[in-house]
Amino acid sequence: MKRFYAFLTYVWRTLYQAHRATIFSDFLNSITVMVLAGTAAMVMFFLVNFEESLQASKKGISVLVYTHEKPSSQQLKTLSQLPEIEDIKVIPGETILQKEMGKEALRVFREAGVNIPQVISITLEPEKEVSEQFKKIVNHTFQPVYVDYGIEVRRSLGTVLRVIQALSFTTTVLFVVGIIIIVAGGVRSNILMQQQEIEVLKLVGATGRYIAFPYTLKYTYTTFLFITLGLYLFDVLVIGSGVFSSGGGGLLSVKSIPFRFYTYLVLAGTGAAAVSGYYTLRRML
Amino acid sequence: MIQFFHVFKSYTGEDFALRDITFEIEKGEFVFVTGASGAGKTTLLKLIFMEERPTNGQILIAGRNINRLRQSSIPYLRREMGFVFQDFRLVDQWSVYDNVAIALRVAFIDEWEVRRRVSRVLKLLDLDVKRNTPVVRLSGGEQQRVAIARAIVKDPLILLADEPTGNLDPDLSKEILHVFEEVNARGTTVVFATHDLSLIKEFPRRVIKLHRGMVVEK
Repeated sequence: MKRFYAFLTYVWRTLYQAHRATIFSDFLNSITVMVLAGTAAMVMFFLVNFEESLQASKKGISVLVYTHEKPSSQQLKTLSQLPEIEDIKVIPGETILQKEMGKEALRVFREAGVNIPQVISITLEPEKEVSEQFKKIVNHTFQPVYVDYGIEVRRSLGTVLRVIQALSFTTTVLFVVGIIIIVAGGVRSNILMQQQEIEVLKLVGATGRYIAFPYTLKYTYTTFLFITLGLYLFDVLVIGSGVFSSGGGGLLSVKSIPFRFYTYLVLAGTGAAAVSGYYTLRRML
Repeated sequence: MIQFFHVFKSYTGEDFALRDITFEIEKGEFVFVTGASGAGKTTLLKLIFMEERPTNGQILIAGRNINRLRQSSIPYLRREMGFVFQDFRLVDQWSVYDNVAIALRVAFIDEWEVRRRVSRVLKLLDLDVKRNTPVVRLSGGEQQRVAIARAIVKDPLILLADEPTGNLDPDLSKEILHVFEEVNARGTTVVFATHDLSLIKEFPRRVIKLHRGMVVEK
Protein backbone atom coordinates (compact mmCIF):
# COMPACT_ATOMS: atom_id res chain seq x y z
CA MET A 1 0.00 0.00 0.00
CA LYS A 2 2.84 2.37 0.94
CA ARG A 3 4.59 1.56 -2.31
CA PHE A 4 1.42 2.22 -4.25
CA TYR A 5 1.06 5.56 -2.49
CA ALA A 6 4.71 6.32 -3.35
CA PHE A 7 4.00 5.41 -6.97
CA LEU A 8 1.00 7.74 -7.03
CA THR A 9 3.16 10.52 -5.57
CA TYR A 10 5.67 9.87 -8.34
CA VAL A 11 2.98 10.03 -11.02
CA TRP A 12 1.55 13.22 -9.55
CA ARG A 13 4.99 14.88 -9.28
CA THR A 14 5.76 13.83 -12.86
CA LEU A 15 2.46 15.19 -14.16
CA TYR A 16 3.01 18.48 -12.34
CA GLN A 17 6.51 18.79 -13.79
CA ALA A 18 5.17 17.87 -17.24
CA HIS A 19 2.57 20.63 -16.92
CA ARG A 20 5.20 23.20 -15.92
CA ALA A 21 7.59 22.07 -18.64
CA THR A 22 4.78 22.37 -21.18
CA ILE A 23 4.34 26.03 -20.36
CA PHE A 24 7.99 26.95 -20.47
CA SER A 25 9.60 24.80 -23.13
CA ASP A 26 9.09 23.27 -26.56
CA PHE A 27 7.04 26.27 -27.61
CA LEU A 28 7.85 25.93 -31.29
CA ASN A 29 7.04 22.22 -31.29
CA SER A 30 3.74 22.89 -29.55
CA ILE A 31 2.76 25.50 -32.13
CA THR A 32 3.65 23.06 -34.92
CA VAL A 33 1.44 20.39 -33.34
CA MET A 34 -1.37 22.95 -33.14
CA VAL A 35 -1.01 23.92 -36.80
CA LEU A 36 -0.90 20.25 -37.83
CA ALA A 37 -4.09 19.54 -35.91
CA GLY A 38 -5.78 22.58 -37.45
CA THR A 39 -4.76 21.53 -40.96
CA ALA A 40 -5.99 17.98 -40.43
CA ALA A 41 -9.28 19.36 -39.11
CA MET A 42 -9.62 21.66 -42.12
CA VAL A 43 -9.26 18.76 -44.56
CA MET A 44 -11.63 16.71 -42.42
CA PHE A 45 -14.11 19.58 -42.63
CA PHE A 46 -14.02 19.61 -46.43
CA LEU A 47 -14.32 15.85 -46.54
CA VAL A 48 -17.35 15.82 -44.27
CA ASN A 49 -19.13 18.43 -46.41
CA PHE A 50 -18.28 16.91 -49.78
CA GLU A 51 -19.23 13.49 -48.52
CA GLU A 52 -22.64 14.90 -47.70
CA SER A 53 -23.03 16.26 -51.22
CA LEU A 54 -21.84 13.02 -52.81
CA GLN A 55 -24.43 11.06 -50.87
CA ALA A 56 -27.06 13.43 -52.16
CA SER A 57 -25.87 13.10 -55.76
CA LYS A 58 -25.78 9.30 -55.57
CA LYS A 59 -29.50 9.30 -54.85
CA GLY A 60 -30.08 10.62 -58.35
CA ILE A 61 -29.81 13.91 -60.19
CA SER A 62 -32.02 16.72 -58.97
CA VAL A 63 -33.28 19.09 -61.62
CA LEU A 64 -34.53 22.44 -60.37
CA VAL A 65 -37.11 24.21 -62.56
CA TYR A 66 -37.67 27.88 -61.66
CA THR A 67 -41.07 29.08 -62.86
CA HIS A 68 -43.60 31.82 -62.12
CA GLU A 69 -46.52 29.60 -63.17
CA LYS A 70 -48.00 27.34 -60.53
CA PRO A 71 -47.95 23.83 -62.06
CA SER A 72 -51.26 21.97 -62.15
CA SER A 73 -51.54 18.43 -60.82
CA GLN A 74 -52.21 17.23 -64.40
CA GLN A 75 -48.90 18.75 -65.59
CA LEU A 76 -47.04 17.12 -62.75
CA LYS A 77 -48.72 13.77 -63.47
CA THR A 78 -47.67 13.93 -67.15
CA LEU A 79 -44.09 14.54 -66.12
CA SER A 80 -44.08 11.81 -63.50
CA GLN A 81 -45.02 9.24 -66.16
CA LEU A 82 -41.56 9.52 -67.71
CA PRO A 83 -39.50 6.43 -66.80
CA GLU A 84 -36.48 8.34 -65.38
CA ILE A 85 -38.53 10.32 -62.84
CA GLU A 86 -38.40 9.20 -59.22
CA ASP A 87 -39.94 12.11 -57.33
CA ILE A 88 -41.38 15.58 -57.94
CA LYS A 89 -41.76 18.33 -55.33
CA VAL A 90 -42.95 21.88 -55.58
CA ILE A 91 -41.09 24.19 -53.23
CA PRO A 92 -42.10 27.82 -52.67
CA GLY A 93 -39.46 30.18 -54.05
CA GLU A 94 -39.32 32.07 -50.76
CA THR A 95 -38.23 28.95 -48.92
CA ILE A 96 -35.36 28.41 -51.35
CA LEU A 97 -34.36 32.08 -51.24
CA GLN A 98 -34.31 32.14 -47.45
CA LYS A 99 -32.27 28.95 -47.32
CA GLU A 100 -29.75 30.24 -49.85
CA MET A 101 -29.47 33.88 -48.94
CA GLY A 102 -31.00 34.31 -45.51
CA LYS A 103 -34.01 36.08 -43.98
CA GLU A 104 -32.63 39.54 -44.61
CA ALA A 105 -32.38 38.92 -48.37
CA LEU A 106 -35.93 37.60 -48.40
CA ARG A 107 -37.15 40.78 -46.69
CA VAL A 108 -35.31 42.98 -49.22
CA PHE A 109 -36.76 41.04 -52.16
CA ARG A 110 -40.26 41.29 -50.71
CA GLU A 111 -39.98 45.03 -50.09
CA ALA A 112 -38.68 45.55 -53.62
CA GLY A 113 -41.74 43.71 -54.92
CA VAL A 114 -39.71 41.07 -56.74
CA ASN A 115 -41.81 38.21 -58.01
CA ILE A 116 -39.91 35.26 -56.60
CA PRO A 117 -40.24 32.13 -58.80
CA GLN A 118 -41.22 28.85 -57.27
CA VAL A 119 -39.10 25.76 -57.73
CA ILE A 120 -40.13 22.35 -59.03
CA SER A 121 -37.57 19.91 -57.69
CA ILE A 122 -37.47 16.79 -59.89
CA THR A 123 -35.38 13.86 -58.70
CA LEU A 124 -34.36 11.33 -61.34
CA GLU A 125 -33.90 7.62 -60.73
CA PRO A 126 -30.34 6.74 -59.65
CA GLU A 127 -27.84 6.60 -62.53
CA LYS A 128 -30.40 8.14 -64.98
CA GLU A 129 -29.53 11.10 -67.19
CA VAL A 130 -31.76 13.91 -68.40
CA SER A 131 -33.38 12.87 -71.73
CA GLU A 132 -34.33 15.13 -74.65
CA GLN A 133 -37.98 14.24 -74.12
CA PHE A 134 -37.71 15.35 -70.50
CA LYS A 135 -36.24 18.72 -71.56
CA LYS A 136 -38.99 19.20 -74.16
CA ILE A 137 -41.78 18.50 -71.66
CA VAL A 138 -40.26 20.76 -69.01
CA ASN A 139 -39.79 23.67 -71.44
CA HIS A 140 -43.27 23.37 -72.98
CA THR A 141 -45.24 22.62 -69.84
CA PHE A 142 -43.79 24.95 -67.21
CA GLN A 143 -42.32 27.83 -69.28
CA PRO A 144 -39.43 28.06 -66.84
CA VAL A 145 -37.42 31.14 -66.02
CA TYR A 146 -34.38 28.95 -65.53
CA VAL A 147 -33.63 25.21 -65.36
CA ASP A 148 -30.69 23.89 -63.32
CA TYR A 149 -29.83 20.41 -64.63
CA GLY A 150 -26.90 20.22 -62.16
CA ILE A 151 -25.07 17.55 -64.17
CA GLU A 152 -21.73 19.27 -64.60
CA VAL A 153 -21.61 20.31 -61.00
CA ARG A 154 -22.24 16.79 -59.79
CA ARG A 155 -19.64 15.29 -62.10
CA SER A 156 -16.95 17.66 -60.91
CA LEU A 157 -18.15 17.17 -57.35
CA GLY A 158 -17.34 13.48 -57.60
CA THR A 159 -13.84 14.24 -58.85
CA VAL A 160 -13.26 16.83 -56.14
CA LEU A 161 -14.50 14.39 -53.55
CA ARG A 162 -12.03 11.74 -54.64
CA VAL A 163 -9.22 14.30 -54.49
CA ILE A 164 -10.32 15.43 -51.05
CA GLN A 165 -10.58 11.86 -49.80
CA ALA A 166 -7.01 11.20 -50.92
CA LEU A 167 -5.89 14.51 -49.45
CA SER A 168 -7.64 13.75 -46.18
CA PHE A 169 -5.94 10.38 -45.90
CA THR A 170 -2.56 11.93 -46.73
CA THR A 171 -3.07 14.74 -44.24
CA THR A 172 -4.00 12.32 -41.47
CA VAL A 173 -0.90 10.25 -42.20
CA LEU A 174 1.23 13.42 -42.31
CA PHE A 175 -0.36 14.59 -39.07
CA VAL A 176 0.58 11.35 -37.30
CA VAL A 177 4.05 11.16 -38.90
CA GLY A 178 4.63 14.85 -38.09
CA ILE A 179 3.82 14.26 -34.45
CA ILE A 180 6.06 11.18 -34.35
CA ILE A 181 8.97 13.20 -35.76
CA ILE A 182 8.37 16.22 -33.51
CA VAL A 183 8.10 14.09 -30.37
CA ALA A 184 11.10 11.92 -31.26
CA GLY A 185 13.20 15.03 -31.89
CA GLY A 186 11.99 16.71 -28.72
CA VAL A 187 12.69 13.64 -26.60
CA ARG A 188 16.14 13.28 -28.12
CA SER A 189 17.15 16.88 -27.42
CA ASN A 190 15.64 16.66 -23.91
CA ILE A 191 17.67 13.56 -23.15
CA LEU A 192 20.86 15.17 -24.40
CA MET A 193 20.18 18.22 -22.25
CA GLN A 194 19.46 16.11 -19.19
CA GLN A 195 22.19 13.55 -19.67
CA GLN A 196 23.61 14.19 -16.20
CA GLU A 197 20.26 13.62 -14.51
CA ILE A 198 19.59 10.43 -16.46
CA GLU A 199 23.07 9.12 -15.69
CA VAL A 200 22.49 9.65 -11.97
CA LEU A 201 19.07 7.99 -12.12
CA LYS A 202 20.61 4.92 -13.74
CA LEU A 203 23.33 4.77 -11.10
CA VAL A 204 20.90 4.80 -8.19
CA GLY A 205 18.93 1.91 -9.69
CA ALA A 206 16.18 3.56 -11.71
CA THR A 207 14.67 1.23 -14.28
CA GLY A 208 14.32 2.26 -17.93
CA ARG A 209 10.58 2.65 -17.38
CA TYR A 210 11.09 4.93 -14.38
CA ILE A 211 13.31 7.21 -16.48
CA ALA A 212 11.16 7.03 -19.61
CA PHE A 213 7.82 7.63 -17.90
CA PRO A 214 8.17 11.39 -17.15
CA TYR A 215 9.38 12.16 -20.69
CA THR A 216 6.66 10.06 -22.29
CA LEU A 217 4.05 11.63 -20.06
CA LYS A 218 5.34 15.13 -20.76
CA TYR A 219 5.18 14.70 -24.52
CA THR A 220 1.87 12.87 -24.48
CA TYR A 221 0.37 15.55 -22.27
CA THR A 222 1.82 18.40 -24.36
CA THR A 223 0.61 16.86 -27.60
CA PHE A 224 -2.85 16.23 -26.18
CA LEU A 225 -3.05 19.81 -24.91
CA PHE A 226 -1.96 21.45 -28.14
CA ILE A 227 -3.98 19.22 -30.48
CA THR A 228 -7.06 20.04 -28.40
CA LEU A 229 -6.17 23.73 -28.45
CA GLY A 230 -5.53 23.62 -32.22
CA LEU A 231 -8.90 21.96 -32.86
CA TYR A 232 -10.68 24.33 -30.51
CA LEU A 233 -9.19 27.35 -32.29
CA PHE A 234 -10.11 25.84 -35.67
CA ASP A 235 -13.66 25.30 -34.49
CA VAL A 236 -13.98 28.84 -33.14
CA LEU A 237 -12.05 30.74 -35.81
CA VAL A 238 -12.95 28.81 -38.96
CA ILE A 239 -16.27 27.11 -38.42
CA GLY A 240 -17.61 29.44 -35.73
CA SER A 241 -16.86 32.55 -37.79
CA GLY A 242 -19.16 31.30 -40.56
CA VAL A 243 -16.61 31.75 -43.36
CA PHE A 244 -18.02 28.74 -45.18
CA SER A 245 -21.62 28.70 -44.07
CA SER A 246 -22.70 31.49 -46.44
CA GLY A 247 -20.75 30.22 -49.46
CA GLY A 248 -21.67 27.76 -52.15
CA GLY A 249 -25.04 29.30 -52.97
CA GLY A 250 -26.74 26.51 -51.08
CA LEU A 251 -25.17 23.90 -53.32
CA LEU A 252 -23.40 22.35 -50.35
CA SER A 253 -25.06 21.98 -47.02
CA VAL A 254 -22.18 23.18 -44.83
CA LYS A 255 -21.83 21.21 -41.63
CA SER A 256 -19.25 21.41 -38.87
CA ILE A 257 -17.07 18.41 -38.13
CA PRO A 258 -18.80 15.76 -36.01
CA PHE A 259 -17.33 15.52 -32.51
CA ARG A 260 -16.14 11.98 -33.16
CA PHE A 261 -13.73 13.26 -35.85
CA TYR A 262 -12.15 15.59 -33.31
CA THR A 263 -11.87 12.65 -30.91
CA TYR A 264 -10.19 10.53 -33.60
CA LEU A 265 -7.65 13.28 -34.29
CA VAL A 266 -6.89 13.79 -30.60
CA LEU A 267 -6.56 10.04 -30.00
CA ALA A 268 -4.40 9.47 -33.09
CA GLY A 269 -2.11 12.38 -32.26
CA THR A 270 -1.81 11.61 -28.57
CA GLY A 271 -1.29 7.91 -29.26
CA ALA A 272 1.41 8.69 -31.82
CA ALA A 273 3.14 10.98 -29.31
CA ALA A 274 3.07 8.34 -26.56
CA VAL A 275 4.40 5.57 -28.81
CA SER A 276 7.03 7.78 -30.42
CA GLY A 277 8.21 9.16 -27.07
CA TYR A 278 8.43 5.78 -25.39
CA TYR A 279 10.09 4.06 -28.35
CA THR A 280 12.70 6.82 -28.75
CA LEU A 281 13.48 6.70 -25.05
CA ARG A 282 13.83 2.94 -24.94
CA ARG A 283 16.25 3.14 -27.83
CA MET A 284 18.29 5.89 -26.24
CA LEU A 285 18.41 4.75 -22.61
CA MET B 1 29.07 -11.47 -0.93
CA ILE B 2 31.45 -10.59 -3.79
CA GLN B 3 33.37 -13.26 -5.71
CA PHE B 4 35.71 -12.80 -8.69
CA PHE B 5 36.90 -15.83 -10.65
CA HIS B 6 39.69 -15.25 -13.19
CA VAL B 7 38.23 -11.95 -14.32
CA PHE B 8 39.75 -10.07 -17.24
CA LYS B 9 38.66 -6.67 -18.46
CA SER B 10 39.78 -4.92 -21.61
CA TYR B 11 38.37 -1.68 -22.99
CA THR B 12 40.27 -1.78 -26.27
CA GLY B 13 40.47 -5.49 -26.95
CA GLU B 14 44.27 -5.42 -26.67
CA ASP B 15 45.40 -3.89 -23.36
CA PHE B 16 43.87 -5.33 -20.23
CA ALA B 17 42.77 -3.02 -17.40
CA LEU B 18 42.34 -6.10 -15.17
CA ARG B 19 44.05 -9.48 -15.59
CA ASP B 20 43.11 -12.76 -13.99
CA ILE B 21 41.52 -11.29 -10.87
CA THR B 22 40.33 -13.83 -8.31
CA PHE B 23 39.24 -12.95 -4.79
CA GLU B 24 36.31 -13.19 -2.40
CA ILE B 25 34.84 -10.63 -0.04
CA GLU B 26 32.67 -11.93 2.80
CA LYS B 27 29.38 -10.41 3.88
CA GLY B 28 29.93 -7.54 6.34
CA GLU B 29 33.63 -7.21 5.53
CA PHE B 30 35.47 -3.88 5.15
CA VAL B 31 38.08 -4.08 2.42
CA PHE B 32 40.48 -1.50 1.07
CA VAL B 33 41.39 -1.73 -2.61
CA THR B 34 44.64 0.04 -3.19
CA GLY B 35 47.19 0.60 -5.91
CA ALA B 36 48.76 3.39 -7.92
CA SER B 37 46.80 5.43 -10.46
CA GLY B 38 45.86 3.22 -13.41
CA ALA B 39 46.23 0.02 -11.38
CA GLY B 40 42.58 -0.89 -12.09
CA LYS B 41 40.82 0.13 -8.85
CA THR B 42 38.03 2.06 -10.58
CA THR B 43 37.53 -0.69 -13.19
CA LEU B 44 37.23 -3.27 -10.40
CA LEU B 45 34.54 -1.22 -8.65
CA LYS B 46 32.72 -0.59 -11.93
CA LEU B 47 32.59 -4.33 -12.53
CA ILE B 48 31.04 -4.90 -9.11
CA PHE B 49 28.57 -2.10 -9.78
CA MET B 50 27.83 -3.55 -13.22
CA GLU B 51 28.69 -0.33 -14.99
CA GLU B 52 31.08 -2.49 -17.01
CA ARG B 53 30.93 -6.14 -18.00
CA PRO B 54 33.95 -8.44 -17.67
CA THR B 55 35.70 -9.45 -20.89
CA ASN B 56 36.33 -12.87 -19.38
CA GLY B 57 35.73 -14.68 -16.09
CA GLN B 58 32.85 -14.86 -13.63
CA ILE B 59 31.63 -12.38 -11.03
CA LEU B 60 29.12 -13.32 -8.33
CA ILE B 61 27.37 -10.58 -6.36
CA ALA B 62 25.16 -11.68 -3.47
CA GLY B 63 25.03 -15.15 -5.05
CA ARG B 64 24.01 -13.88 -8.51
CA ASN B 65 26.23 -14.38 -11.53
CA ILE B 66 26.29 -10.96 -13.17
CA ASN B 67 27.38 -12.40 -16.51
CA ARG B 68 24.01 -14.08 -16.75
CA LEU B 69 22.06 -11.15 -15.39
CA ARG B 70 19.69 -9.54 -17.87
CA GLN B 71 20.15 -5.82 -18.55
CA SER B 72 16.68 -5.16 -17.15
CA SER B 73 17.61 -6.76 -13.80
CA ILE B 74 20.64 -4.54 -13.19
CA PRO B 75 18.69 -1.59 -11.70
CA TYR B 76 17.16 -3.88 -9.05
CA LEU B 77 20.58 -5.18 -8.00
CA ARG B 78 21.96 -1.65 -7.97
CA ARG B 79 19.31 -0.62 -5.48
CA GLU B 80 21.04 -2.94 -3.01
CA MET B 81 24.34 -1.14 -3.52
CA GLY B 82 25.69 2.30 -2.80
CA PHE B 83 28.47 3.86 -4.83
CA VAL B 84 30.53 6.93 -3.99
CA PHE B 85 32.21 8.11 -7.16
CA GLN B 86 35.42 10.02 -7.46
CA ASP B 87 33.61 12.66 -9.53
CA PHE B 88 30.53 12.65 -7.22
CA ARG B 89 27.97 12.22 -10.03
CA LEU B 90 25.35 14.51 -8.56
CA VAL B 91 22.69 16.53 -10.39
CA ASP B 92 24.01 20.09 -10.12
CA GLN B 93 20.72 21.95 -10.18
CA TRP B 94 18.98 19.67 -7.66
CA SER B 95 19.06 20.45 -3.95
CA VAL B 96 21.08 18.39 -1.48
CA TYR B 97 17.84 16.80 -0.26
CA ASP B 98 16.67 15.77 -3.76
CA ASN B 99 20.08 14.37 -4.67
CA VAL B 100 19.97 12.10 -1.64
CA ALA B 101 16.25 11.30 -1.80
CA ILE B 102 16.39 10.07 -5.41
CA ALA B 103 18.14 6.88 -4.26
CA LEU B 104 14.98 5.99 -2.33
CA ARG B 105 12.41 7.45 -4.70
CA VAL B 106 13.46 5.17 -7.58
CA ALA B 107 12.51 2.23 -5.38
CA PHE B 108 9.10 3.81 -4.66
CA ILE B 109 9.76 4.22 -0.94
CA ASP B 110 6.95 6.36 0.43
CA GLU B 111 7.70 10.05 0.87
CA TRP B 112 7.32 10.06 4.65
CA GLU B 113 9.95 7.34 4.97
CA VAL B 114 12.17 9.17 2.43
CA ARG B 115 12.02 12.32 4.58
CA ARG B 116 12.89 10.41 7.73
CA ARG B 117 15.85 8.55 6.25
CA VAL B 118 17.27 11.51 4.32
CA SER B 119 17.08 13.76 7.40
CA ARG B 120 18.94 11.12 9.40
CA VAL B 121 21.87 10.85 6.98
CA LEU B 122 22.04 14.59 6.38
CA LYS B 123 22.42 15.09 10.14
CA LEU B 124 25.02 12.32 10.29
CA LEU B 125 27.09 14.03 7.58
CA ASP B 126 26.51 17.54 8.91
CA LEU B 127 24.60 18.65 5.81
CA ASP B 128 21.28 19.36 7.46
CA VAL B 129 21.55 23.15 7.20
CA LYS B 130 22.23 22.94 3.49
CA ARG B 131 19.43 20.54 2.63
CA ASN B 132 17.73 23.00 0.24
CA THR B 133 20.91 24.33 -1.38
CA PRO B 134 21.56 23.28 -4.99
CA VAL B 135 24.68 21.12 -4.98
CA VAL B 136 26.35 23.31 -7.59
CA ARG B 137 26.79 25.93 -4.85
CA LEU B 138 28.58 23.53 -2.48
CA SER B 139 32.31 23.08 -2.06
CA GLY B 140 34.03 19.92 -3.33
CA GLY B 141 34.14 18.45 0.18
CA GLU B 142 30.44 19.11 0.73
CA GLN B 143 29.54 17.57 -2.59
CA GLN B 144 31.56 14.51 -1.64
CA ARG B 145 29.51 14.22 1.56
CA VAL B 146 26.26 14.51 -0.44
CA ALA B 147 27.47 11.64 -2.64
CA ILE B 148 28.21 9.59 0.48
CA ALA B 149 24.79 10.44 1.95
CA ARG B 150 23.13 9.24 -1.26
CA ALA B 151 25.09 5.99 -1.16
CA ILE B 152 24.29 5.13 2.47
CA VAL B 153 20.71 6.42 2.74
CA LYS B 154 19.23 3.16 1.47
CA ASP B 155 21.20 1.00 3.93
CA PRO B 156 22.81 -0.95 1.09
CA LEU B 157 24.10 -4.50 1.23
CA ILE B 158 27.30 -3.36 -0.46
CA LEU B 159 28.90 0.08 -0.30
CA LEU B 160 31.50 0.88 -2.94
CA ALA B 161 33.66 3.98 -2.67
CA ASP B 162 36.11 5.18 -5.28
CA GLU B 163 38.63 7.55 -3.66
CA PRO B 164 35.93 9.18 -1.54
CA THR B 165 38.47 11.12 0.48
CA GLY B 166 40.49 12.29 -2.50
CA ASN B 167 39.14 15.85 -2.28
CA LEU B 168 39.03 16.13 1.49
CA ASP B 169 41.49 17.35 4.11
CA PRO B 170 42.98 14.70 6.48
CA ASP B 171 40.61 15.49 9.38
CA LEU B 172 37.52 15.30 7.21
CA SER B 173 38.87 12.13 5.58
CA LYS B 174 39.02 10.47 9.00
CA GLU B 175 35.48 11.62 9.81
CA ILE B 176 34.25 10.18 6.53
CA LEU B 177 36.00 6.91 7.21
CA HIS B 178 34.28 6.78 10.61
CA VAL B 179 30.96 7.11 8.80
CA PHE B 180 31.92 4.17 6.57
CA GLU B 181 32.85 2.18 9.66
CA GLU B 182 29.46 2.93 11.20
CA VAL B 183 27.72 1.76 8.05
CA ASN B 184 29.92 -1.36 8.05
CA ALA B 185 29.05 -2.01 11.69
CA ARG B 186 25.38 -2.25 10.67
CA GLY B 187 26.28 -5.20 8.38
CA THR B 188 27.03 -3.48 5.07
CA THR B 189 29.95 -4.85 3.07
CA VAL B 190 32.30 -1.95 2.28
CA VAL B 191 34.79 -1.85 -0.60
CA PHE B 192 36.89 1.28 -0.30
CA ALA B 193 39.33 2.17 -3.09
CA THR B 194 42.12 4.54 -2.11
CA HIS B 195 45.77 5.21 -2.77
CA ASP B 196 46.12 6.99 0.60
CA LEU B 197 48.27 4.54 2.57
CA SER B 198 48.19 6.69 5.72
CA LEU B 199 44.44 6.13 5.88
CA ILE B 200 44.93 2.37 5.61
CA LYS B 201 47.53 2.49 8.37
CA GLU B 202 45.17 4.35 10.65
CA PHE B 203 42.23 2.01 9.98
CA PRO B 204 43.80 -1.42 9.58
CA ARG B 205 41.53 -3.62 7.48
CA ARG B 206 41.97 -6.27 4.82
CA VAL B 207 43.71 -4.84 1.72
CA ILE B 208 43.46 -5.96 -1.90
CA LYS B 209 46.41 -4.44 -3.67
CA LEU B 210 46.42 -4.02 -7.43
CA HIS B 211 49.36 -3.43 -9.69
CA ARG B 212 48.93 -2.97 -13.45
CA GLY B 213 45.61 -4.75 -13.40
CA MET B 214 46.70 -7.72 -11.31
CA VAL B 215 46.14 -8.58 -7.66
CA VAL B 216 49.47 -8.57 -5.87
CA GLU B 217 48.12 -8.83 -2.33
CA LYS B 218 44.77 -9.92 -0.93
